[in-house]
Amino acid sequence: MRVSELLDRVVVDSHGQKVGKVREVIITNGHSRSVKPFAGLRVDGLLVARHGYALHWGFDNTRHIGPLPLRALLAPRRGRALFVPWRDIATVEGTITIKIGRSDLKTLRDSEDVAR
Amino acid sequence: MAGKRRSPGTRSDDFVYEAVLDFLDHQMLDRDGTPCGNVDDLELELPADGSNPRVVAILSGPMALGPRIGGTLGRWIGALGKTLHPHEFPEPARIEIRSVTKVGSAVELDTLASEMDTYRSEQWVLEHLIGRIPGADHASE
Repeated sequence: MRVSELLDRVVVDSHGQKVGKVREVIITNGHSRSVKPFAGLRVDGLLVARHGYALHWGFDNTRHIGPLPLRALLAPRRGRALFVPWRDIATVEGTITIKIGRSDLKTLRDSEDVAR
Repeated sequence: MAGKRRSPGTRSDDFVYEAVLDFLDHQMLDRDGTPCGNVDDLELELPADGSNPRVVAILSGPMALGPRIGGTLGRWIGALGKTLHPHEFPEPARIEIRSVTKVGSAVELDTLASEMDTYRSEQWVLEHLIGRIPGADHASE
């Protein structure tokens, strides 16, 4: 499987409700202190949102600052992206189905607050 | 600032990357700093036990970019890549993810460009197409 095969796929929750489309694939490195730090990269989860342009342009609350008018316009939309942990994914054939309800998912902004 | 954020469930010393933002379309540099293609896609391996997929390779070249773009343009790019590829059964250039040493504005590798498939394809195009254009041997003058 390729990362591009996950992007733009529709995600449906356990009730059959559409959550959005896959806009980003989050990958982590569990071996960051090893000699080959990238050998252990694995998919941690998916960012799912109805609109993807804020994510694709890299606007979020912590990594990019300006220009202010554009950030003010796009950052709130970025905050609406939902993080789907890989462990909560039931199937990836065709439509991606998750094991939990949409209301159980955290927004990206909530997720970042948790991580801080 | 790639690899600095965390997502739920990751440990404090885990590095976190976003595939689209931090990898796709980034320039690759070999260990001498020579440009050696772009990251056009990432290959994932799904473990049989259902655990998180592993990122195993970077895919580069028109046969990786074409399917990603999709549509008529994507098919055209993929077909062009197959036509120009020196092998009978062409595949996208594949770079093991363990070769990556740093991810920033570029993706840095510990291999040499001359050892990579992207370089061999480029050399084939240079010899069989570009080199046959009248005056091509004076291109650098």
